[in-house]
Amino acid sequence: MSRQIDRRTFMAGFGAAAAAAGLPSTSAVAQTPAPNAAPVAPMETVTVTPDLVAAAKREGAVMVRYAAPVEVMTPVAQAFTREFGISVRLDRKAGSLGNQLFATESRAGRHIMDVAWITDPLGLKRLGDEGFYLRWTPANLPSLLPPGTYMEGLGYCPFWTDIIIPYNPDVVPPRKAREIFKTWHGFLDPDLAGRIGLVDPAATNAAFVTYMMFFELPQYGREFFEKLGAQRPRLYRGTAGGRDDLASGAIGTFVPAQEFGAFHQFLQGDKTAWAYPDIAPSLAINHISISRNAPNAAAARLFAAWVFTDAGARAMQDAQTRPTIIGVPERRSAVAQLAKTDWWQPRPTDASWVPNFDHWNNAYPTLMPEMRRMLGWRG
Amino acid sequence: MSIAEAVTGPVPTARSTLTERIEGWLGWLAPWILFAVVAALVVGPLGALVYGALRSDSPGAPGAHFTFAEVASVYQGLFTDGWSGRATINSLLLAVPVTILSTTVGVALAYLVARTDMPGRRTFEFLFLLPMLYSPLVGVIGWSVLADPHAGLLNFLLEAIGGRDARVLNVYSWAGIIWVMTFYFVPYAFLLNIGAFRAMDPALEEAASISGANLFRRIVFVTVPMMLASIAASAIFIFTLSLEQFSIPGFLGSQMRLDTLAYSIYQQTNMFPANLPGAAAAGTLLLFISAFSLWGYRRMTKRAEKFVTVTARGYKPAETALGRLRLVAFLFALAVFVLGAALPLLAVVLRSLMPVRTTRLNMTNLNLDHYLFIYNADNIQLSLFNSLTLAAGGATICAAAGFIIAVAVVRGRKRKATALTDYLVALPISLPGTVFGVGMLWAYVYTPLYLTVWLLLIAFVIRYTVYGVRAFSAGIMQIDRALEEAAVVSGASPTRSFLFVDLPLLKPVLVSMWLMAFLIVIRELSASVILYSPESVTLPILTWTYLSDGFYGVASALSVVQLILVGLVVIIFKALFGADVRTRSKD
Repeated sequence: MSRQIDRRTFMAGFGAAAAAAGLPSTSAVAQTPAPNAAPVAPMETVTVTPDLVAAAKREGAVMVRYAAPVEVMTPVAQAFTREFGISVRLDRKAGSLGNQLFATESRAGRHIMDVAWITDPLGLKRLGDEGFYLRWTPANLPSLLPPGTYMEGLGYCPFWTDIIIPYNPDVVPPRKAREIFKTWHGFLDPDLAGRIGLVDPAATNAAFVTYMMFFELPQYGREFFEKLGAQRPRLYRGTAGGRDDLASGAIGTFVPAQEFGAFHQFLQGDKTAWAYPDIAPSLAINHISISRNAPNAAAARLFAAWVFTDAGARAMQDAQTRPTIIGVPERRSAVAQLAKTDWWQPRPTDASWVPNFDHWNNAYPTLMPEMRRMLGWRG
Repeated sequence: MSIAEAVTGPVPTARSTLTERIEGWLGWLAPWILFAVVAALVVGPLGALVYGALRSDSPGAPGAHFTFAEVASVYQGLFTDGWSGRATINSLLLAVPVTILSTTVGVALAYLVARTDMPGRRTFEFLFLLPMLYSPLVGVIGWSVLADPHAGLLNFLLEAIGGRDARVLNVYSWAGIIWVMTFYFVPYAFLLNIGAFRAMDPALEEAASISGANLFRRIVFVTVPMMLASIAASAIFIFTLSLEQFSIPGFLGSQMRLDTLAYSIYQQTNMFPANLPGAAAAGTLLLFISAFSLWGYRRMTKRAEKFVTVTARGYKPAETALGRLRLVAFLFALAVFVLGAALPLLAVVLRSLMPVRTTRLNMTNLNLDHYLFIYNADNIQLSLFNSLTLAAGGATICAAAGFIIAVAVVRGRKRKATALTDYLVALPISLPGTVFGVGMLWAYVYTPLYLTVWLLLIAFVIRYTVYGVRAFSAGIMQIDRALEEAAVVSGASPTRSFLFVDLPLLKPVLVSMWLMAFLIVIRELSASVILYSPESVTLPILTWTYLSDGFYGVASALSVVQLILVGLVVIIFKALFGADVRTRSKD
């Protein structure tokens, strides 16, 4: 089946990316060219230069398709426009839809999108192999971004999606929460039966990868996930519903909750608190890619390159996300305010679990349906 | 034989009324021309979907080849407990009770408003439409706030009255989902039937009354059978839309691990990686179910003359005096309004005023921040303009196209081309909007219309013209042809005959139909979320964007704004046309 071939293709590409990034690769065909691959174009280094800025300003606009959260995308786009006077046409396409549209358009010879900022690494790799995405890299990549945050030549993630354990203090008393949520085993507390929210693993990458962590780490494993399913969790089609229900007290805790989402809610006055367990996923799943046939070629390159500058990182921090760029100082306003509370502790630096894309890709076809079955879905 | 023919004897056939002239055009070649036009619009996206269902990968993808694997997998699943089988059963288990309940309630309300002296009926006529002014997700938000088993406001109220055990409401259950869906579809049944009730000659009801039949017997044995075409049309619609509806069971059903066919299809289009051939293959399953229900409808209404209720005899649509039942009717209508619209709406208004959701409601925290956010948002004006123009344009085209097709279908039922047209025009509505959107995408990507506001308009017209066809079909079936023939015999030109005979008689249907199409288009989301671009963004898309990112307060505020604006349009529309309809029908 072609979809299986695509997965191998994907693995091959990621094998190469992982090798370049210093990640261990489990793919036996890591260096094998993809069967349907377009001739490999030379890698283009994209940086912010006066010439590029001038050309981009002449184009005047850039069209960005994004699946990143709107609270991230909007301030980043506004900051870019403020700096260069170039308008950003934002086209929200959630999930894998952005890549579907791009594939349909590109195969038909229609070129509409300039930049993709999407959460579909598999689709990204595949369309890269078809030659629809530009082979590009920010300058000085090894010293700019850590391993696991990019698919070299194709997509680069500008911020981390850090997973936390949130809790509603009215349902889980803070003292107890701080104790039981030192590890994920706290979810098995009998008092939480029926008061846990989980996102359908088929609905978001963040959910699937978080559950995958349980399967991969020996201290949790399959048994832990089975027990989690036995807690009669509420299941959600996306994180939004879970966050809202958590704030209302309909549930006491929720997986996967993202740190920057919690920061936003905290700034709005939400009383939901959270804990950083012994280990939690740090995901880099919102990749920025450039269409090879971008109608606004200069503006597309400028936007993509600018996001990985200090100004771009600052815009990312204004959106309360943690930039992936190495060495950026902490400047998030939520952190400053949280530091004044008596319950918040900064995220431990050694508590991140970064998924291996090969494992992820290999496991998804069988593990995702299995996860759903373990959570009570039939069929 | 029609009632008029029974009373006055055969009327000389004249072939020059406008509807008959249309019929004349349609005599031999025209049905096929009409069929070709409809086919040109419908076959594009549907053909692309069928093509996609028979591919191993998305059309155009390298290495994709023809295969029956996806189709076989979906249909095999029906008999082997696969995902499609379970999801289909779940969909039917929801659609059947929802159709029965919402049609029953909607028809009852339409009868009470149009044919009785129930107090407050004019006000209710507007109030019943309120759920049609906002997205189905508003109902989901509203009822989640009200009837969550742990945090629902109504449950808190019940707890305060009867203790913790009194918290019995649970919107995340079969009953909860059927409840929310029923109230979502009641306005459809109401709007699809009220025009026909208004146009109905009360002669037979009066005759039954004179013969001693009480109100119940009159309704059961006279009114309902006469209205069967209209009731059946609305029931078929609601059944089809219930099957296609994915957001209500999708959001509420996940907590009980309930997958419906429509949601599963949506999931296929959004999973990683997307399985578009699988989604398209499953979409064909819904097409078959819909075609089967349409076949049932055509059989039920096979003899159009059975439903003639507007005859050549002059009549005055009298109101049925309910007597002591007036209060009961009023309380019933009030209960439907409160449960179906007021309560969830109140919850959404409340949510729009809450900066963040909290465990216990704190009224002192309420503010207008979410409305200020909307006011300052960049694309609100554009989305508003797009929504209003698309809704008005779409409704008008659907009405015009629906009328032409309805005339052909009703007056030319025995022609193969019109029967095919009837089937064809109904197919797009049976597909989940997302899948239909993918089909439109594949069909139009090579054209300059791609991702423009015009593509949305075409999509809406293809998808919703069937409303016009059904509404006008039921209306035309009610009109005795002798009326047109009498006008022609009296020397009226075809245009005058159409303008002064057909149109006034069909005007209640036209008004209801246009309004319904307007309201459906203005909140359409599932297809447009695939087909929109930054320039063709609509209000429901903005709401969806905020909702899916967890900005429930902003999404609620947007819904309230949409409700107010669309409500104003409806009020103006009713002021211009609604009162006129009532006056004329009474005179």
